[in-house]
Parts: sequence; C-alpha cells; structure tokens
Amino acid sequence: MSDPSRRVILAGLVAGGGWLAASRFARLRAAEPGAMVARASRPLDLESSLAALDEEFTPNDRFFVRSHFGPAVIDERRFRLEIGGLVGKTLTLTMAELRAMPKVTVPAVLQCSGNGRALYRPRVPGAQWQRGGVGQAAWSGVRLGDLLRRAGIEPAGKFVRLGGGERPPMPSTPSFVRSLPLDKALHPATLIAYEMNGAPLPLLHGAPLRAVVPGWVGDDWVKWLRSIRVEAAEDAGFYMKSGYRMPDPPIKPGETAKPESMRAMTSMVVKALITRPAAGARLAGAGALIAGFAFAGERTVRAVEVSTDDGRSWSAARVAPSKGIGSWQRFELPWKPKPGSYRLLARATDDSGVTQPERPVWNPGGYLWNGWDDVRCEVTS
Amino acid sequence: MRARVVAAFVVVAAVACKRSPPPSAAPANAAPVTLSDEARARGQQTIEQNCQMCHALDLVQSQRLGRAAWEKELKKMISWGAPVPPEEVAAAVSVLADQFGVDTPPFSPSSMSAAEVAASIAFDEPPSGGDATHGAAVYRVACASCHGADGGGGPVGPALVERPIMHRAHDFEAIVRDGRRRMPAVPLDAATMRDLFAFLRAAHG
Repeated sequence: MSDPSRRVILAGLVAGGGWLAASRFARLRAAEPGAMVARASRPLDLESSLAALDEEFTPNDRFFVRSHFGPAVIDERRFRLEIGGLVGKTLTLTMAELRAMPKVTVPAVLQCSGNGRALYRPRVPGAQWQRGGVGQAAWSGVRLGDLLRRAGIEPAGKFVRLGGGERPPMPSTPSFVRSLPLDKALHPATLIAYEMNGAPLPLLHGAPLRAVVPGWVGDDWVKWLRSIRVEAAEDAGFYMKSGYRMPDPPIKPGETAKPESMRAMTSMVVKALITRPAAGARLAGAGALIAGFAFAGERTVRAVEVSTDDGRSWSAARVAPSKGIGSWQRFELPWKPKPGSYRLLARATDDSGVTQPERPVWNPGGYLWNGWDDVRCEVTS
Repeated sequence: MRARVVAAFVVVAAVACKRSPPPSAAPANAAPVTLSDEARARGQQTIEQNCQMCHALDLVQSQRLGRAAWEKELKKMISWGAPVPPEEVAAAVSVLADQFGVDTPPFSPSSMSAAEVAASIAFDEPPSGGDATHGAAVYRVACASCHGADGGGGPVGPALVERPIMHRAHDFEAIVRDGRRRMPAVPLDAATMRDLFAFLRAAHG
C-alpha cells in the first residue's frame, strides 16, 4: 500500500460503494501540517501548502509538483545530454562533464501557468490548482547560453527546443517539448540545473537535469531534460502549438479562438501571495503581521498594497528589493487588529506600473490567474 | 524456454477474452439528467477502465464542467490514445456531466505528506540479470497485443518502456500476477518475470 493514490481510490470504493462516491467525501484523512494537496494523485500534481510558502526558499520536499506523464526513468551513469540541431558541433555531455562547467546559482520562482485555474468562472478543464502551484528555489547548474556557445549557434538558429524525458503513456499522446526564443535561451539567468536549494535535483523536479527559465511560466522549465536542439522555428508539437496558449485578444466563454490569435505563454504576470496569516487562521489579538511574497515575471515588484477591510482602503506594505530576474520579494505589513472576522487582500504593482487586477480576464486554459490574493481569518481578543 | 513461451500463449487467449463489454441496446444519447441505471453503470465502467490507464480518477473527479466541455475533453483524450470504443462515448459523457457538472458540490482532494510522496516514487528495482532474449519472446506473446510491439503502448495498454512503473518492481509484479481492470492476471514464474524485466529495461535510454 505504498501508492497513496490507490489508497484514496480504495477508500472511496469501500466507504461509498462506488468509485464516484469518493468525490462526496469530506477529506479522507486529516491533512498533516505542511502536507501537499493532490490535484492528481497519478501522475502527481501536488500543490504546496501556504505554510510551506512562508519561507524565501520553499523546501524541496514541500515544493509543488506538476507532471504530464510521470517521472522519466533515467540512469545517470549512462545519461548523455545531447545538444544539436543548427549548431557548429553536436555535443553529447555526461553529468560529470556538465558539472565541470562553470556553476551558476539563481533564485527564481517556479509557477505552473495554471496556478489559480480553479478560481476562474466559468470553470475550465485541467488540474484544479488554487494558490499553491508556486514556489521559489535556488537553482544551480550551467548556463544554457554557455552550452549553446560551446556547440556554436548557426545564423539560422532562432529557437531552442527543450526535449523532456517523460515517456507518454500511449503512442498518440504528444511528447512534452517546449521551444524558447534564442534571446531567452541566451539570458544569463537561464540555466540547465542539476541542483535545487543546494541538494541534487529531486526526481519529481526533473533529475538529473531541468531547464530553469527565470520570469517565465513553469511550462518552459522542462524536466528530465534529454535533448537541446537549435532550430529555425518553434516546435510544432501539441505543447507549443495547441497547449499552453492564450487568445489575444481575449475571447468570451463559449467562443472559439482563432488559431492565429493564440499566443504561447512566456512571462508570468504580477502577483502577490499572502503567506501569513494562513487562510482560516485564528489569531490572538495584539500585534500581527500580514506578509507574503510578490513577483512580476521578468520585472520587479515596485509596491504591494494590503487591505484589511474588504477592499475599501489599502495600505502600502514594506517590500524587499529584488534578488534578480524571476525571484520573489517579501512584503510585510504590521497589523494591530481588533477582534473580528477579516478578509485580507493583497495586490502588487510592477516597475512598469501594472497592478494586478481584482479578477483577471477569463481565458479557456485557465492560465495566469493573478486576481487579488484573498485570505479570510479570525482575530480573537 | 519453449514451455514458458507456450504457457504465455494461453495467457494471450485470456487477454483476448477480457475486452470491454459489447454495447447494450440502450440509446446512445441518453438524457444527461435521467440516466438509466444501466447507462450509468456502462459509462462508469468505460471511465474506470480507460481513464486510469494514464491517470488517477481524482483528476476527473475534481473537474466541474458542462456537458459540451466534458465531451471535448473526452474526445481529446481519445485522440491521445484512450481506447474508448465510439459506441461508449455518449454514456461516458453523460456520466461525467451528471456526476461532475458545474453545479456539483466541491471535490475534496486527498493530501499527501512529504513522506508519502517520497514513498510513492521510491525506486524499487527489479532483480538484475535475466535473459532479455527470452523476455522479448515472452513479451511478444503475452504483452504485445495490448502494450504494443515495442513496449511503447497501444492499442489498449499503456507504454511500459521508460515508464515510472519500470522502477516499481513490486507494483509491476503484482499487476502482472493479479491483473488490473482490463488486464487479466498473467501467471509468470519468477525467472520469467526477471527475463521480462530484462527485456523492458534494456530498451531504456
């Protein structure tokens, strides 16, 4: 019984007399502090608890997990990373050869583009992420640019195709492949990482190698990376041409977007996350702190405002300086509440003056949710 | 070796007998709200047998979608390889729209501690050694008709080569031994199981 998904399904069958009954249960087991929420129990889509997100660096074992098909099976001793396509010299590198190259560490937020999907109305299909499909780690590895320059980029090369190692379950299931425009691939913070928060990259986070693309949505942070190819055009597979796209201009629910209006997602959007107090917390009066993290894709966060009165008034929180592209910034606001029920709201503004909206415009994939963060709590005397 | 291969042929016959049930005479476009017990049971069976090959049912149960959206999702999954027979699509869509429609109460997801997550993906290596050539012969007669000629999946069984199950030896052996959903039990002795692993693991990159 080491497979929790099986345990959950079995519990549903036993207690409810049918598989559909599982959905009618209250939580099958009380959540341990810091436990992950299974948005899918196989392959694993695990959402972090907000308690795990109250630190600058999210612990590896409580960092959210997104899977398309489940961990690749890679034998590190036999593993070779291939760098080919429109390059002067095709490279095949062992892990030892990669580790011998200059090592770079960047702090960067990884966020599933579907984080917050469950908050859109009308609802859209996909893993029903709420607030915890996000986290920050210190990622270490080699610059993708160093690898590409070592291979030599031919003038016709405009995109860098990142081939993931997750084996699709059926022959007609598309493989997970993404393409980065060359300038983003060459950005000095874009890495091929083999460490996460100082530890070897965990299996669920792409061991032995993953892409790290600071400021951009998690879709591009390809895990179990096997191959890098310089190409003249974006990859034509499902995950570039159909999946992970948003209509521009937006469409209304029920409308069908013209294919040519669909844009591949790139940068994340400005967003604040309240990590303290926890949603549903009961605080014992006196002094409290409203705190969390804010990030703005490739930009920096200029301001975070917090409301404790349902949005009628807003106060500026103290915001820590940025630690680099794609990292998150701590915000804090001391708070001396009277006893009562509170709705706490937070909204961030980036350095171009864009403020996160009360609710973002709906899109059919449920991507890039960045509505005001919204936490309810009780203050006792 | 020959005796073991012959034994595997018997298994193939069993596999062939355990396909989806034939469609019943019930109308394929049963109204979504007033599903007959029979249509509901058929739709549930279709979902149970075909969706869980690739993902757990909580991914389905946590959605709240209208009928048109469910139909679109199911058709997408069929295009990705879910082996749902055409005559079973309407009943499955009806069950999905009925049980997981927009007005259904919220789903309560399960939680997993860090230890449970780690245990769920811990490598459980199969025994080393084994005769990959014999394993290939066993695979051809016992597995290939459902899991594809090269272990890459299809027409009604998921890929095995390079899939996470290849590092879960005990889970793999239990499924082969006991069967699961569409898959019948395949009684292989320990030596044959080791040979099968040797063949499937040899194909890993």
